[in-house]
Amino acid sequence: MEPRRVLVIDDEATFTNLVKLNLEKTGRFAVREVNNPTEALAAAREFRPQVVLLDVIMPGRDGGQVLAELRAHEFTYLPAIFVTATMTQHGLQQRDDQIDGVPFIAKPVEPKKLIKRIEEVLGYS
Amino acid sequence: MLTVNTRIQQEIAEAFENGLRLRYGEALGALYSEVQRYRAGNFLEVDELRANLDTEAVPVLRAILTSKVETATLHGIRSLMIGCAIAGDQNAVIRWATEGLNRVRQFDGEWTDTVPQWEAVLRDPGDFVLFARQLKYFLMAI
Repeated sequence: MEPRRVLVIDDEATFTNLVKLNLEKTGRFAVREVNNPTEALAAAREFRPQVVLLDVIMPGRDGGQVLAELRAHEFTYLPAIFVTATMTQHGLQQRDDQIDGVPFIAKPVEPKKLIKRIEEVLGYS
Repeated sequence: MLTVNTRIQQEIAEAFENGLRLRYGEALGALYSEVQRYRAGNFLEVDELRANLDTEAVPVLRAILTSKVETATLHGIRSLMIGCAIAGDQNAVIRWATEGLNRVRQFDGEWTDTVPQWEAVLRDPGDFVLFARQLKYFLMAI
């Protein structure tokens, strides 16, 4: 099976790098990192992601704005998972790992949990 | 009509806040006054505090995601920054202070006046965390 393409948008390069490392070593994912949210649309056009993982709070442009921009263009139905360091894993679990139906995952991210979450939003688990 | 006790308590609180402003300057003093009021009635046990911070973060995240950042959101961000300081989470303090500063710069009116407060925290977040914790523990002990 061809690797699923995951676009990771976060201003923290250490985080995106860690995600790339952990996802790609499974052989099931190809990851493109974006550390400047203003470059998200251009990167998406080039990479054609099947799912996007993005931080909520970033300098210049927050995750909501980035996703809105992507969805306003040719990525209307692109599944997204938000990453946040502002809530604990426990706090999110108590809310079924979502806020208003939007999937969330807390930092620090556990690779197994992240993979499970990605597979869920891609519709296979 | 205030009761005598309530009035005395209020006067003490005001004197305390004025003292904080004099001692630490207007920007930090104003912020420390909010540290004093942050969940004033609760004993700040760490797990309970973390749970409170999770709950407080939800509407703020929701507002950011839907691009509906309003006055209540800014109060929420400041409250989260203070709560994280009391919890001793310096990285979270920096995150919220940065977010708060970016947001208040886009607002007019009284929020513009708070710019020096966020800047003061970002200048020395460690000091803010330390003093916020000391202040809170002192207030809980008296």
